[in-house]
Amino acid sequence: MEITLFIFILLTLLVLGTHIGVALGSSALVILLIFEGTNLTVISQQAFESINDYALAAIPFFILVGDIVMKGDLAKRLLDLADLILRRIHGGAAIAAMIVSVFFASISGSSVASTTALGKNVVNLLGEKGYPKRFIAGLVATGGTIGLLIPPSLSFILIGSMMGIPIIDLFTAGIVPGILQGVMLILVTWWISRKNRWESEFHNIKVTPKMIGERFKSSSGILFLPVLILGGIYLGIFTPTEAAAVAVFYALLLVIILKKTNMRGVWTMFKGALLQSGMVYLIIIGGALTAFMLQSLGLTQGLINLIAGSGLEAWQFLLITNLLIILLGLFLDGISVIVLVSPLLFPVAIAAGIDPIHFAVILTLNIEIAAVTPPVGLNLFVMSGLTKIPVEDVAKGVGPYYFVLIISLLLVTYFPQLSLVLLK
Amino acid sequence: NSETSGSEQETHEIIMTHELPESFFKHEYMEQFKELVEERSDGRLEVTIHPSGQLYTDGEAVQNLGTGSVHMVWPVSVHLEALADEYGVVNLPFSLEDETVLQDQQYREELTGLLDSFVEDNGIKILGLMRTAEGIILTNDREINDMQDLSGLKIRSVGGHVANELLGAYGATAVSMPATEITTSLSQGVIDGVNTSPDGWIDVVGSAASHGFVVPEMQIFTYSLAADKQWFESLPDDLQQIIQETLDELIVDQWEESIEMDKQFLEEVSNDFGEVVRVPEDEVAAWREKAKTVHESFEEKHPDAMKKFNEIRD
Amino acid sequence: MKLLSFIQDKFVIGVGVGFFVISAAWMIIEAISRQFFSKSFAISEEVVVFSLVWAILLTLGASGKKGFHVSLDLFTSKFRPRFLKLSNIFTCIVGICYAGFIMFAGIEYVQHLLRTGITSHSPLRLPMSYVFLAVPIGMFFLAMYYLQSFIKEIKSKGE
Ligand code: NA
Ligand code: NA
Repeated sequence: MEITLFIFILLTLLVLGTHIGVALGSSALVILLIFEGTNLTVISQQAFESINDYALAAIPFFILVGDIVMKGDLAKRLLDLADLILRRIHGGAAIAAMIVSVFFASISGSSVASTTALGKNVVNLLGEKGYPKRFIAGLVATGGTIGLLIPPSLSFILIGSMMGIPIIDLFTAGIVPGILQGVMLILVTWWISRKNRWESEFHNIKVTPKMIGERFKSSSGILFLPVLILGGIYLGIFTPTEAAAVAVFYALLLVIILKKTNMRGVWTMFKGALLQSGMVYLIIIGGALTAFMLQSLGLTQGLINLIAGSGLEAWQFLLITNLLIILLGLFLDGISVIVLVSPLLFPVAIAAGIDPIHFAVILTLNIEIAAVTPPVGLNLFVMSGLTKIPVEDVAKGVGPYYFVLIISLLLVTYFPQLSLVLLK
Repeated sequence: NSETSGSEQETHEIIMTHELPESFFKHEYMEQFKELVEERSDGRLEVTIHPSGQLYTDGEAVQNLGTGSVHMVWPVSVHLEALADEYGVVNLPFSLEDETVLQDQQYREELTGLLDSFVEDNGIKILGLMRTAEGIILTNDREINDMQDLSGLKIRSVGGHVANELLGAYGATAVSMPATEITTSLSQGVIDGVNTSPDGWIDVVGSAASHGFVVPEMQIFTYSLAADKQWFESLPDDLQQIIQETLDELIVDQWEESIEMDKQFLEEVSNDFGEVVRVPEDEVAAWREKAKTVHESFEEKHPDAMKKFNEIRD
Repeated sequence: MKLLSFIQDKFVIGVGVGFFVISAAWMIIEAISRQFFSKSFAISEEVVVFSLVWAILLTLGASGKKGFHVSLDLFTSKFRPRFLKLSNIFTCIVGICYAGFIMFAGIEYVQHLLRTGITSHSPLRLPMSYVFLAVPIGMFFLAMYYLQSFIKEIKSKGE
């Protein structure tokens, strides 16, 4: 009864265009106050504690790194390098863009940050070469999603801090699935370009080692960033959260050395990243209130008992879970989905004998899909904004890539080894 | 008269909370407490336990005593230092001895009374101490045999002034770090060691640490049984008495079981992946001597608390 | 209202960004100091997290003003102008109630923290009442943002 009412209020608020964080939080509040008589102090406390978390500090820092890289034109240098190297194959520039997306995933912690940072440059480069806008938009939107799977990753940080799983283990678990998916996306890009005969007049283009050398030099600064981030984490120089701050300072240093900004510009970038993070945090607060409500109603325990009593096998549970999360992902953004389902599904998954780390990777892949599925997909929105074409058209541009995402999801779901192989 | 008989019929809810999974023995003791007080009060006391931090973590719960959302919580005693610095006296190195606590009921009562006096102005009533565990220092691959081995190591501290200063006294650096980052940081070498408990070794750190080091009775960590003072005092006298007596009974059993469990956990680790070094009795004096600086700096800040604490012990 | 806007846009954001910079800088300082000088600060975790909590909460409203808070526009984009205006007004009211409610709950909690005098755990020993003040203050500015949007929506003529 309570849960039905909750869903009804939530849907009404969402349909009327209430901010997602506010919609989540206020529907939960209504239920808590009417049915549970929850103490006021508990509510304010939950709101505070949901963001009072060391690991979450990485969120604004990773958004900031993306901003700095974008404003400093660092992504463009990389893109030019990859484009030059691949100029002599079908769809060279498109493949270059996809490769840079995968590379960029090892710098950026979020898919939106990846998409935003690369978006404008890719649109310019591929636009000049005559690729259709719809395809370009779809490519960048999809490429951005790997940002969550390859470390560093906001999704893993969020799950790790909520569920108490070591973040570095989650990072490690994402590497193989991330690379696997990246390779598939690159191959599909090549296949689409070839089929459409895009950039097929390449036979007489000259590319000399000297040209490559020059571009390599100009992008060496940014090429070193993932080494710093991942090397720093895995060599034990700093924690995953600190890595985010180190990346900020390195990127800042880079753009200051390149004279792309001054102190005023730095301040503006900090401001921009902080305000963008507000979006994530408003959802985290609303999600925490929702999670608290679900727990107060005993829904988590009820669901565990239900699954345990139903005799569902792990694979069936995973199938249902995937469908459920994809359904949620149609309407909610990734952060909201994680915040909403983690407290509910992790205990159930563990009870069903599924490794929580494996489950975190599955959840993250679902979130990736959510970012590019209409009606609500943040990457779609970003690319729609950049290319000035409707969201539906961006989604159509994602077209063939949906297959890759679904296949990755199935592989990761039913081959836990992919996620766990790098962990002892 | 009718008024008292009315209040005697009334049922009183006790909302309790803790942050551990239900499989932990603190939860079992809360369950026992629930069963006993409900039975002894003929159902006039009604206990609700929120496990696993579902309502609050222990630190949050301490913060919320007095709001009516939680009535009783049994946090590690370090949490009470956030209300009164003097409370740290019970966390000082070598301040508690298992035998004394177990044997001497008067000592237990006086100690509880002293601790209670530190936080009563904050609206909190201390009803007793339970034993959390004996502290252990875990390291990744280097073995610790004597004091020099600790020098220069970066060790994740349990937190609180006292524990940090203690590590400093032996030349180690106390690192503060969220619990979720411990295992990683230890295996990656961000830190060299962790100050924790035997069950923390099994449940949190695992095989990321292969060496454990214990100085007998240097660190006996405790849980403080803390209640909302105003709420507690508003209960009818007989119910207050039932609660206090039930806790007094449980404390002794719990203390013994905790000692036993420390032993079991360390045996388990020794059989599995780790080695435990225990400082022999005749060397403990040297450790005690070095830890004096911690006592001295505490005494400087809180001479009164120190004096009263020593009086109780002697 | 003008003064409020000024406070919100210049002062509050400035303070928020300041806290954000402190948070980032302190994290680096801790990492470098621990790694290269074997010195770790017991206050680091609190400096980093509390600064960030303040930074974020203070600027939740500003974040909305810049249009960063996401909502579902699948349906609203198809609403008739008159109905859209009504739904916008409604969502603003929901926002005001939500932020206002947490603000009041927060004030109550701050009072409780003042009574007990509880402090943070690190050697900073910050009174938690001050730390927690970020909730009511932040929610006040979030509520103000929704109030301003509400007034703007009322004044605007539905085309
Ligand atoms: Na990433
Ligand atoms: Na979606």
